[in-house]
Amino acid sequence: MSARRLPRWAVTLLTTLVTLVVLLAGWQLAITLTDVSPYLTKTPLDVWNYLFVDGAFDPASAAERRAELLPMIGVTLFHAGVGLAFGVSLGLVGAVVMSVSRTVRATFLPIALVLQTVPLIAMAPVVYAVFGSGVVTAAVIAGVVTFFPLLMNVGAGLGAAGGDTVDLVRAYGGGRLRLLFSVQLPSALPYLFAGLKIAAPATVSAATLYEFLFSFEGLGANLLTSKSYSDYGLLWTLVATTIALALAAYGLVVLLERLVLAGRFPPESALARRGDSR
Amino acid sequence: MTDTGVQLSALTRSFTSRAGTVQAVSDVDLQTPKGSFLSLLGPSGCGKSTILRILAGLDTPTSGEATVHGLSPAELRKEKSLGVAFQDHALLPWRSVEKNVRFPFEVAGVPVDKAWVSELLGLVGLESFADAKPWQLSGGMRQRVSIARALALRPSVLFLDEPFGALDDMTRQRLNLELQRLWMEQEATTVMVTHGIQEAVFLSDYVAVMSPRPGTIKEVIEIDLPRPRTIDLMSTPEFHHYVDRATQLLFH
Repeated sequence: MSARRLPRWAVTLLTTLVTLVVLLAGWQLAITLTDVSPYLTKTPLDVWNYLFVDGAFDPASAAERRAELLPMIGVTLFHAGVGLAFGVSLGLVGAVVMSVSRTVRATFLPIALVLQTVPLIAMAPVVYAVFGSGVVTAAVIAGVVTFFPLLMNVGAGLGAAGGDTVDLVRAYGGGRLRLLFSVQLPSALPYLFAGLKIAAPATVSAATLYEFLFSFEGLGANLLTSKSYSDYGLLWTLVATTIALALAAYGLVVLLERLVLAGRFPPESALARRGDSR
Repeated sequence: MTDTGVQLSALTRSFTSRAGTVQAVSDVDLQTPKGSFLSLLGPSGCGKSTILRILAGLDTPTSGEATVHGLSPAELRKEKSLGVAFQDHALLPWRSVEKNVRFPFEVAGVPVDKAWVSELLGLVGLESFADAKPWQLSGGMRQRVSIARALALRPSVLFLDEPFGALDDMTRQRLNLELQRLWMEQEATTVMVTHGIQEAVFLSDYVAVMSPRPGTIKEVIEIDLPRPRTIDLMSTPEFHHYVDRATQLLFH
């Protein structure tokens, strides 16, 4: 085994697949081995049937069911995307401003921390009251969960450059902007991705929450309506789709991270071997 | 004044905290000729790094004055002909070796002298690693890049803060030989902070032995040994005489 080791990506792919199989098998077994109502609870196979087998659910054509689902996914992705863009921009700007000014940091960091402790579900009606129904409210609600992880991670990244590096720039006559653009922002790049890994999947859930509470469109809104129509096939398919979207968002960030950081920063395995971050 | 290198006049730097005032540097006077190599030698906390930081414009004295070639640290910076290297190599991981050596040009706002950069890489024996990233190199190689970067602007003034302090003895010895060779070609007025006695004697024209609390210079030893100095020189009685003298000052 040790003589011919699999490449890293293959290991990642394999472990991901195994995780997926374990999850789906667990879900399937939990329902088939217990006495829960098969009318209310659906298995992964049911979801598969809902998406791809004609006649299994109403409407009879699977293609028609998929055609109904697709625009919902589109709406949720749009809400999540706008929220992500909004939260990431705000988090980035906030982190930069806080790294430049200690006064701003001392003033606004506690506020951000307090905001972070307010449950999203409690904040949502306030946002709705201010901005009404629409993409702005979606962006704010989805942005709230993106903003904080970005602020904290990028903030840590901007401060990650060592004192000697800062001295180096100053000794050669470099100012605040030079330090920011040539040293701080590049060194914050790995931290940006660490923040995005938390933020991107969370944005999908937050977008769904917005739809669930205040909208008639998207995956979240249809969670509610499918339940009131007792369309449990759709309900479980929506839940599975939402989870898949959140996981895909995470996967996309990981992929992007690999592409962007490769060759620019030492791979993690090299760090572990050297026990040294530089 | 044209022949003056480093000049410290009644230089004092005190730090005030809740615990009271600490004199990191207390009333230090020192003068070296232009183009000479000065080492500030002493235990940690003797103020040697503080003096270097003041000279490099990274700290300001409480009172007194520090100049190099008659120029204040701010004026010196405007000349854009100084070089610095620290114990922490402070290389940027996302830049290649070559682009790290170019960095001072960009920060100082001077057009990059590409020919000189590649010549420098050759001088420190890293021409075949120009495109490598710092984290792909050994500790000694990284410190070589750091030295090459310090020489990028063809500095007339060079500040070195324990540049090889984090390296093993053998690598350090080898790099000291290389540093001497590079320094002899550049003729830069140099100030090096170190706690290595042999290293200080080997490289310097003047060794300022310092003592802590308050940080003062006990004595400046002029090292009158011919250059280029070799490893063999280190086993001569003359060399040992200087090392013994510095040791005596440090421990008594």
